Amino acid sequence: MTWISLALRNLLRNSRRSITTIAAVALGYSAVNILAGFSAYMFKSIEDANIFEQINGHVQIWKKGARDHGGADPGKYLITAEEFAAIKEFAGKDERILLAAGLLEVKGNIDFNGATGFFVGQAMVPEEKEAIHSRSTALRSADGSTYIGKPITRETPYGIAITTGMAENLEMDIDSNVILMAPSINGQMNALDAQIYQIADVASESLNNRYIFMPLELAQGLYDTTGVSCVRIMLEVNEDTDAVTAALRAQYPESGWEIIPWYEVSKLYLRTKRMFDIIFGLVFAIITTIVTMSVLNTIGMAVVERTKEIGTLRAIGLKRPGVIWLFGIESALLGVIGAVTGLIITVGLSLVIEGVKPTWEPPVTAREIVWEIRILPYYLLTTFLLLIIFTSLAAIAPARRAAKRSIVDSLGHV
Amino acid sequence: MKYSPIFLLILSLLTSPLVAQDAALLAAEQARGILTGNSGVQWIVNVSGNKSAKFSAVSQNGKIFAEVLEPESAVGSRYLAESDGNMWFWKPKLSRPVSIPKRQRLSGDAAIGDIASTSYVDGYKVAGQEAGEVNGEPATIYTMKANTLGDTYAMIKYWVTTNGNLGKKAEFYAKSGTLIRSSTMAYDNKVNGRPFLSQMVVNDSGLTITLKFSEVKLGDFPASTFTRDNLGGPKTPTPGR
Repeated sequence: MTWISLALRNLLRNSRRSITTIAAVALGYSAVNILAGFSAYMFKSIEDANIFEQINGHVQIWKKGARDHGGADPGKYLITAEEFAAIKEFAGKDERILLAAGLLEVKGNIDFNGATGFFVGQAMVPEEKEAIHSRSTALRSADGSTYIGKPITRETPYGIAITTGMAENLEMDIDSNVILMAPSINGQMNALDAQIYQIADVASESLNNRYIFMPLELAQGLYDTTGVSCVRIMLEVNEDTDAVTAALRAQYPESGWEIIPWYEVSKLYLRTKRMFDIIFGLVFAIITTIVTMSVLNTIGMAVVERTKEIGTLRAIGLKRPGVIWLFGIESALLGVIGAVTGLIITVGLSLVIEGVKPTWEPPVTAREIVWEIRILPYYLLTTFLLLIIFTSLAAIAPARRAAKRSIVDSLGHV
Repeated sequence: MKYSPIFLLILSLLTSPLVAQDAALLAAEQARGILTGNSGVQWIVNVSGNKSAKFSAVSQNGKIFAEVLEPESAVGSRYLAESDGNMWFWKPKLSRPVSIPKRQRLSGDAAIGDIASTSYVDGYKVAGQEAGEVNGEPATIYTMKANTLGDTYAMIKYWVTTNGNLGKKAEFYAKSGTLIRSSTMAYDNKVNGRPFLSQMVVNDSGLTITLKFSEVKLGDFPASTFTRDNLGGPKTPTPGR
C-alpha cells in the first residue's frame, strides 16, 4: 500500500504530464474497444441479416450443380416433391432443427398495364418465410418497419412483394394488378395474374430494382413444377450450424448434393470478416504502440528529473529492484487510471449511441439503418490487462538505467 | 425519250436472269407458304426434338396466329406475332394478353417463325448466286444480305433446286460470319397440285427441332384473326402506356 500511495503521490507531483499520459491511454483504450464494438455490431448484423433477414437460414441443401448451372436450366436441378418430403422427415427428427423450408428461385418478366420489367425472385410458403424473417433483429430501419402493404399468407396465393425500385420504375402501387411471365421448366411460355401486396426494400442495392417475393404455390404454377430449388434449414441456435451441416452432409453425400452453411453461401461474409480482423489487428498494434511510447516518454522524463531523488532513495537503502518497482507501479497506475477512464468513455459512448439511434446507409444496402456500439466484456477486459502490462513494462528500461547509476553520480546529477 | 430497240433488247437480256432468279425465289417462297396479296396459309405443325408440341398456325401478310394443341399443360395457349415485330401471348384464365419477346421460344423449343410461313427473302437483297447441289439435286445457292442492320440475320444462304424451285436448305449467319442456324426442308405435301412444305429440320444453338406440316389450307383469312381480341381476355385490350 505504501508503494502504491508513493507512486500515486509521484504522479500528482506533475499532474499535467500525468493527465496527458492518462488521456492517451484512455483514448487508446476506448478507440480499440469502440472499433471492436462497432465491428461486432456489424458482423452480428451481417450474420443476422444473412441467416434471417435474407432468409438464407443456417444451412442450405441444394442439388449438386444447381447453384452454378441452375440458372440456365432450372428444371434439371430442382429438388422433387418426394425428395423434399424426405428431407423434411429427416430434419423433423433432429431437435436442433426448427424448420426445413422449401424455396424456389424464379426469374421472368412482370407486366403492368403493358410496361414490362425483368424480375428475379424467391418463392416460399409465406408463413415459413415469416418464421425465419421474424427472428431478425438487425438491419432495421429507425422506425422498425420492413415493408408497406399487407401480409402475404397461404390464403393470398396471388399476392406478391416487390421492391421500392421496381415500384418506382413501373409506377406500381399496393393492389396493382400485374402479370408474371416466365418459361416453365419445360420451356413453354407461361403467365399468371398476380397482385402487389407489399413494397419493401431489400438489403442489396443491385436487387432493389428487380426482386420479387411470391408464394411458393404461385411460383410453382408459373414454372409448372412441384419441386423447389433448395431447402433452407433454420436452427434453434446459431452455434449448432457446423454440427448440423456435418450431420446433413453425412445423410446427403457430396456426389449428388451440396450442403452449405450460411457463411459459405456468400463468400463476401468471410472475406469481409478477414479484412476487418486484419484492420482491427493493425489498429490495435498501432494504438498499443502509441500508448506505450507515450508512457515510455512520460516515465523517461520522470526518471531523468528525479535522478537525484533516486540517488537519495538508494543512499537510504532502496535497492535497484526497488527503484524499478517504484517506477513500474507508477507506470501501471497510469495504465489502470487510463484504462478505467477509457472504459467509462467506451460505455458512456455506447449508451449515448443507443439512446440517439443514429442511422446510416451501409454498403450493399438500399436503406438507412440504425447502428450501435456493442459492449464486449472479453475485449474490455483483455485490452485493460494488456494496456496495464504494456504500460508497466514501458517503465522498466528507463528505471533500470537510472537504478544502475552509482549513488554518487545520481546525487550529483544536475 | 426514245430508246433504240437494240438497247431495250440488250437491257432485257441483261435483266432476264434477275427476273428468272426472282421468279425462282418467289416460287420457292410460295412453296413454303409465303403467298402474295392477302392470301395466307393455315396448317397443323407437329414439333419434336427435346420436347414435343403441336400447334395450329395461320400466317398472312407477315402476321402469325398460333394456338397450342399439345402438350396438355399448354393447351389453349395462343401467340400473335404482328408484322411490326411485337408478339403477344395469352393462355386460358389469364386476365389479358401480354407482350413477350419475339425471340421467346414456344412449346417444343420452336420459334414463332418456324411454325409459320416466314419469308427468307423479305428484307434481303440477292448479293450473289452460284450453282451447287442439295441432297444430290442441282440447286442454285443464293447469298442474300440484309437490307438493314436491324434484321435478325446479316446474311442468308438459300439452296433452291433448279428443278421445281424448292428451297431445300437455308443457312443463317450473324454479322461476324458465324453460322447461327440452319434448316432443311422437304415438300411432300401437295396443294393445288404443286409440292408444298411438309417438313423442316432446324438446327439452332445446339437444338435440333423437327417440324412437320400437315392439313395445309390456303386462303384469305379475315384480318380479325390477327388481332389481340382474337387471343383472349377482355375484348377491349388494356391500353398500353
